[in-house]
Amino acid sequence: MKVLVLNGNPKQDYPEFDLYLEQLKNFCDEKDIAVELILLREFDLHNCIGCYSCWLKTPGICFHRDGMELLIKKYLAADIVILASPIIMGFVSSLLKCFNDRLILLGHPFLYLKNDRMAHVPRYAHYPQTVLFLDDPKYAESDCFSLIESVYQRSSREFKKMFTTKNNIQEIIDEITHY
Amino acid sequence: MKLLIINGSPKLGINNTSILLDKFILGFKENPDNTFQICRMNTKETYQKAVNEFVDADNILIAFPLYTYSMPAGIKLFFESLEHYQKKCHGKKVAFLVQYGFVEATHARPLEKYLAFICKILECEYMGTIIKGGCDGLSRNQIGAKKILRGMYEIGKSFGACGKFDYDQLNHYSAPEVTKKMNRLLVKIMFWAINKFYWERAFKKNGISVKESFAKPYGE
Ligand SMILES: Cc1cc2nc3c(=O)[nH]c(=O)nc-3n(C[C@H](O)[C@H](O)[C@H](O)COP(=O)(O)O)c2cc1C
Repeated sequence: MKVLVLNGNPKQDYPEFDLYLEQLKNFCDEKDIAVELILLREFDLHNCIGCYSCWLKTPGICFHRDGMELLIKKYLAADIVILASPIIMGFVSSLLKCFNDRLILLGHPFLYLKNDRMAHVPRYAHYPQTVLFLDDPKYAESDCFSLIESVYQRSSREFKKMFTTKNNIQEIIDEITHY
Repeated sequence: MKLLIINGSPKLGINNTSILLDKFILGFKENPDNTFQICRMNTKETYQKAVNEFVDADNILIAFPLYTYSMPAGIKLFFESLEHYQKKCHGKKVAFLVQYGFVEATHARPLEKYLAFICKILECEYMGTIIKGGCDGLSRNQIGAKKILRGMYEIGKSFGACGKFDYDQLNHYSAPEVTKKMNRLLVKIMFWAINKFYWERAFKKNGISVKESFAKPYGE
């Protein structure tokens, strides 16, 4: 069982969020669960520019060679990926969204019917289970959470569930290791 | 009305957003009292410029493509840059245009709610969102997209005349909400044709075989 945590907190001045994920990592270490924690803000990821090179010119490879290659390898090698971000202006950070946009290279342009809906053919045979991990700021209206969840339910492959800093770490780990 | 139009398509060159905006503007300008200004926002430098122009403007239309069922990362960065302007945007009126590939309007509904939410926390007036699917390939085939472009002109015209959206018109334009359950065999044949005549042709143009198009550079 391999867990990959992608921390999409863009803010240096918000160490509490990073700390929570550190604790989650330590908890996994104690339980002998292989876990890797990556701080996305340490990469200088370009936003997707919609050029479709990854579909038409260099299949599966992005036009921007900026470290995303490494992240994709780790993503595909993981059993579970925790996409983590504080809620900023009512949604996940632009930093995490940038990573999500660039996952377009995990798909192939061909269309097919998946559960009676239009979808793009997967490029790889296996994808990790993904969960979202958000903070719980005072101003976050309940609306924010359900909005973010419905976006991820529709867009992410193998999306399982949304957690927040209100959830107990042990509960989170117990649950995701049973997927 | 003086309208600031922000085009947030992440593409570097020609983009579907601008093709639709051109038609909107054509309609909007039918009212001789209307003026507009376009701000292209797709690089680090232009995000900041767009924020400054947004802050100075009274009427704003923000247009962009749907990326994974929500806004592209760059548009989100723009919203994050407005964090200090929460509750400070009284008197501003903000409208949106969201266009994308899949046909059904339902794909953009969560995002639409989010856009209303953003206006709420900025305390500006939310005017509404033009939602239009089926816009992939507009830049290659404007003739086949006549209806989409004509509709955009009509919306621009009524917005230009009344200074607000006609919601019935917007709903009509966004339809279908979901496509009727089609015969599965028919759908499969349609996908086969798109894959064969659209995508395979695109591979060929780039010197890529179908087998190569399925490359798995990062694993199995
Ligand atoms: C990273 C990425 C994600 C996309 N996600 C969606 C999507 O979730 N649904 C959809 O219908 N189209 C999606 N599209 C297609 C674009 O919305 C569509 O091509 C749009 O017309 C592009 O507009 P532009 O040319 O103005 O940039 C996506 C495209 C890219 C590059």
